[in-house]
Amino acid sequence: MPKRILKDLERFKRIVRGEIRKNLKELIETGSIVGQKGGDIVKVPIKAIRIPQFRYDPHEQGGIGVGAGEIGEPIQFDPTQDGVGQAGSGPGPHFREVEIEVRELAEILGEELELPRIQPKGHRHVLSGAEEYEDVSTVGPQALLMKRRAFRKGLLRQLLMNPPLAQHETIVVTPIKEDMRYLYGQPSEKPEANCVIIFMRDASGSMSGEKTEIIRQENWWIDLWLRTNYSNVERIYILHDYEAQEVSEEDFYSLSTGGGTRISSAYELCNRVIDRRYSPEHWNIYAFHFSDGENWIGDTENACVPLLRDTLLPKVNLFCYGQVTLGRRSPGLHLVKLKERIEDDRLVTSIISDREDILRSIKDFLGKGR
Amino acid sequence: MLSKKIRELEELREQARQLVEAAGLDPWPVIFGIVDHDQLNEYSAYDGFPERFPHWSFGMSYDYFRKRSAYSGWWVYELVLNTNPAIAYLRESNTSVENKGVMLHVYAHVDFFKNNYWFSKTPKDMIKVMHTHAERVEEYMGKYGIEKVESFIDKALSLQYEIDQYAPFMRRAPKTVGEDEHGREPARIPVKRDYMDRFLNPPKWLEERRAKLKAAQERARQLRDETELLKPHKDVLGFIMKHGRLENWQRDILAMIREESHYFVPQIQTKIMNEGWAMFWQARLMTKFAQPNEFIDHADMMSKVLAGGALNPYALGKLIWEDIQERWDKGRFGREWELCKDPEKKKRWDTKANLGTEKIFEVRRTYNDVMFLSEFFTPELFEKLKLFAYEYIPETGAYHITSRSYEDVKKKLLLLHTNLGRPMIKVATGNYGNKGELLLLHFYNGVGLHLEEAKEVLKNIYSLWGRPVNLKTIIKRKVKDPDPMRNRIHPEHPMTSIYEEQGVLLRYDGESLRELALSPDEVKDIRLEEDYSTIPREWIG
Repeated sequence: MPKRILKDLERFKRIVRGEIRKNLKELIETGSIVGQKGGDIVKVPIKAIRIPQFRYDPHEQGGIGVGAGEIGEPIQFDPTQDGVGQAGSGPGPHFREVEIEVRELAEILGEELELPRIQPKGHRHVLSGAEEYEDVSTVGPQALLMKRRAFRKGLLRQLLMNPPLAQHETIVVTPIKEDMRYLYGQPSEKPEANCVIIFMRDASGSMSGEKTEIIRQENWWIDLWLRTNYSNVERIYILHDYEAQEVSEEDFYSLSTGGGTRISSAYELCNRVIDRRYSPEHWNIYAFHFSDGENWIGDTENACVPLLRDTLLPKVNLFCYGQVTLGRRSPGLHLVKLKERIEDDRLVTSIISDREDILRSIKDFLGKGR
Repeated sequence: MLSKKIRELEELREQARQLVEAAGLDPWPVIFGIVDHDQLNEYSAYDGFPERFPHWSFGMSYDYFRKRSAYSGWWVYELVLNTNPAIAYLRESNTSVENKGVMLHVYAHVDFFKNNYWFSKTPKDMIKVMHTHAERVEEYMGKYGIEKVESFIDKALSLQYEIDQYAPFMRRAPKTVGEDEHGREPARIPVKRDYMDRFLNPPKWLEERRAKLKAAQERARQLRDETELLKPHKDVLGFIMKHGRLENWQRDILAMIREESHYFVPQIQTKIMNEGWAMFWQARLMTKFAQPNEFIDHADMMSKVLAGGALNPYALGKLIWEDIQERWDKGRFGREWELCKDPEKKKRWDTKANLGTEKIFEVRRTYNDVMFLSEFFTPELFEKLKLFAYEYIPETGAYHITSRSYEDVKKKLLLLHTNLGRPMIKVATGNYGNKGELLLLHFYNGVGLHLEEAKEVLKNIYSLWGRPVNLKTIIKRKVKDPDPMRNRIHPEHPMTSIYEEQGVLLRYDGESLRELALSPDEVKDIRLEEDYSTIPREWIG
C-alpha cells in the first residue's frame, strides 16, 4: 500500500493540475506567471486551492515591522504574503499561491495544447555520464555487493541441500562465492539534446507597448516548452529595424527604435549566428520572428524569401513567424507573401491580434512536434 | 555501524536530559526518532504526526516542505509532539552539534507541554487519536466515495478554528437560567458579618440584578428549541455539528476536526512563549554541552533560527524570557521600580534579588502569549527593538510606517495574538427569523473581515447547515476623499479618506449571496469598544 502522504500528494497535484488546466488561458492572457526569473519553480496564483476561513482583511489589520524608516514612509514588502505577521494562523504553512515545478507546468501546457513531444534531430549519441544500476551480476566490486540478497541466496541453497529436521532449528547462513550478487551498472546511451532558440523582433516604433508585451508572454511559454524538451538550451535575441543587432534579453523587450523596417537584416544576422556558433550538425535550432508585417518595399520577396527557402530553412528545426496586429488593422503583407512563396513544413506562421490569440499561436508554432 | 551511531545518540540524549533536569526543567520522557529528509518532510506536513486523516491539504504541505528542502536547503528545525512520552525527530544527516542543540530545544518544549496550564487539557495519547481519525475517515471514503468525503472535509475545514478555545477549562456547560436559579433571587455575595451585607449586596444593585434575571428568564421562556440560544456561542463548529442537517458520518468528521483543533490551540496560544523558552534553554545549556570546537557552528545555527529579529517568535520569546530573568534577578519590579523616573538610576538598578529563575518558572506555569506580551513586553524592552507599526493606505496603494510608539506597536502585537489572531465569530441562533436559518455575529473591533473570503466561508457553512446562513458584520465605507490641497501641504505623509462604519448582513441562501445594509442600531451589539488603528489623525481627511 502506498504511503498515506503520497496519496494526499497525488490528490493535491490532481487538483492543482485541474485548476491550472481550467485557468491556463487566463494565466497566459494575464501574464501572471511570466516574468518570474529562472529557477526550477514558478509560483502560480490559484484561489480555489485555499480553504477559506474567517480572517481579518490584511489591509485593515496592518502590522508591525522591524528596522529603520521615518513615519509616513512606505515599506518595501507585501505583508499579505505568507510569513511575516501571520502569527495567528494554525499549524502548517499557509498559502496564497501554489509553487509548481517548471517541468510540471510544461507537461500541463503540453497536454492542454496537445503538443507532441519533440523528436530531437539525433545526429550523435553520447554516453551520459551517470551509470544507472539496472541489473544484477554474479561478479563485481565489493562496494556494490548486495548483502541482503547474498544471504537470501545462501539461505535458499542451504535449505535445499540440508532441509532442517526440527521446525525451529536455527540456521546459520554462510554465503559462499556463488551466492554473491553485485549491482551491475551500464552507462546508458542518450541522444545529445542541444537546442538554441533565436528570438527576433521588429523594434520599430509601431511595435512597442502591448505588442511587445504579447511577444514577451508568448516567448515565455515557448521557452518553457523547449527547455523541458532539451537538456541544454541557449538563447539568442535579435532586434531589428532597418538593421539588425544581437541584444540581451532585457534589451530585447525594452528597446524601441524609430527607423524603418527591413526584415531581411534580421534573417541575415540569424543565418550568420547559426553559421558561426550553432552548427546544425550538433544543434536543434528554433527561430521565432515577430513583427507587425510591414516591411521595406520589395524586401520580403527579393531578400527574405530566397534567404529563408534556400539557406535558413534547411538548417533549422522550425522557423516561426508571428504577425502581431492589434485590433482590426489590416495585416501587413509579409506573412501573406511568405505563405504564397514558400512551401516548407519547417516554416510556420501565425497571426496574433490580441492576448486571447497567444494560446492558439503557441499551438500553431509547437504543434508540429519538430 | 548503525548501532554505534545509535549508542552515541543515546549517550547524548542522556547527557541532555541530565543537563535540563539539573537546570530545573521537568520534561516527560522523550523518544527521539531518527529520520531522513523525506520522512521529516512527511511528518512536518502532518504537523509532527506519523498519520493524519486523508486529505489533499496535507499533500500540499508535504509538497511545500519537499520543495523547500530540495531547492533551498531549508529544513524543519525541530519537530516535537505534545504527548507522553513525547516524540521528537532528529535528521539522519544532522551533525553532532545540531543534535545537541535540537535535543536541548526539544526537552525545553516538552517541559513546557508538561507544565504549562494551557496544555493541561490536551490528550496525551494524540498519536492514537490521530490514527483512529485516519482510519475512520478512510472507512468513510471506502463507503461513501473519496470525492464526496474529501469535499465535505474541504467545507468543514473552513470552520476548523471556529471553536471555543476555553471550553476545556470550563467546569460544566453554561447554566440555563431558571434551572439553577429556580427563578427566584439572584445570588448574593456571601458575607461574614451581617452588617456588611448592605455594603456588599446593596439593595439598588440587587434590584438591577433581579430585573436582569427576570429579562433573561423571559428570553429563556421564549426559546423554542435548542437551536435558539440565550447568548451568542463561540463554538460555531460544535453548534453546527449538533444541529446542522448532517448525516452521522458527517457529524463524526466535524467532531474529529474539532477535537484536533482543541489539541493544536494551546500551541498557537503559546507560540512565542514556547519557542522562546526552548531557545532560551538551548542557548543557556549549550555552553555546558558543546565541545569548544562546536561553539561557532552552534552560534551559526542559532542565528539562522533567530533571523528576522523581534518579528520571529523564537527571537521575541527568547528576548522576553531573558529580560524577565534579568529584571527579577536585579529586583527591577514592584512599586518602587515602577515609580522611579530617573533613567540613570534605573540603568544601574540591582537589588541582588536573584529571583529570576523562580519567576520564569512561575510564568511558564500559568501564562499564554497574550498574558505574556501584555505583562512583559515592556517599554524598556521595546526601546531596544526598533519596532514600528504599519498600516495600509488605499490612496497610495502601499503600507506606510504609522507609528514608533510603544502603545501602538503593542496594540498591533496583541491584535496578532488575541483570539488566535482571528476575528471573533459567534453563533447567535440557529432559528433566525423563525425559519431555521443560521445567524453568525462578527464582533467587530475596528478591523474588518476579509470580505471575499468570508463569503466563501458562508457558502461552505451553508452546505453543512442545510439552510440559509447569515452573518452580521461591519464594513468601512468611504465618505469623503482627502482634500487634494492637503496632500501638497503635507508631502511628508500620505493622506487618506474619511471612512464610516456601516453594518451589513451577508446572506447566502444556496443560490445567491446578498448584502443588506443595517442601521447603526442594528449593529450596536457587535461593535466592541476597541480600536487597533494606528493611522495618525492628521493623515485623515
